[in-house]
Amino acid sequence: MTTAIVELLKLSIGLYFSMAKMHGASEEELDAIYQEEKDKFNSNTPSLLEDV
Amino acid sequence: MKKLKFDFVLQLMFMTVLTLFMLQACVALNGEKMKTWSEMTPKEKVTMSYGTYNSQFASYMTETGWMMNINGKWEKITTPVLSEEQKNMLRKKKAILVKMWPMIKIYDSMTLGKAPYSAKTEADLYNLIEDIAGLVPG
Repeated sequence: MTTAIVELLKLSIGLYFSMAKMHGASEEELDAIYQEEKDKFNSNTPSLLEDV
Repeated sequence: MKKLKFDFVLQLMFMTVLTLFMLQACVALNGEKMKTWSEMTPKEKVTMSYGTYNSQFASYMTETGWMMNINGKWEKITTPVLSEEQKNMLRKKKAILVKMWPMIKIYDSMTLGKAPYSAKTEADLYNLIEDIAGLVPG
């Protein structure tokens, strides 16, 4: 559970910095963030989510 | 039991922090404020939608015992013992993620001009982002 909490913290920080990066980013920087998130999204399909 | 409660409180704190980051969207940054949804360009909105989905997806995977390996593939590393409360929260999260995935695809097509713009789709997507950001155990 501690590992999960650490991961959650990393995710929170990651999301914060991703939003911070987006804030005031140039068009090229925004394109790069968009592409990075889109690539991740395309591999993060809902079929990978197991039932609990 | 005490440790379990401590972990739960920590988890609740992190989820609250995450919610604040996403919902408020007005954290002071170098003296400026982040844009709210209505102030964002379509490209920023879709990027934020991707980011929100990816973050919540990774959170779900982690909470269900998966971890990303160095090759960028998800790997089951443990089977966590989850309380009924945690399971219910995860079930809600999964239901939202399943709805979000195709909607973000459509929204992206809209912003790229490949599909006609629909205010309803955008509003539905925003509501899902709010729903998932507001999910906390309990």
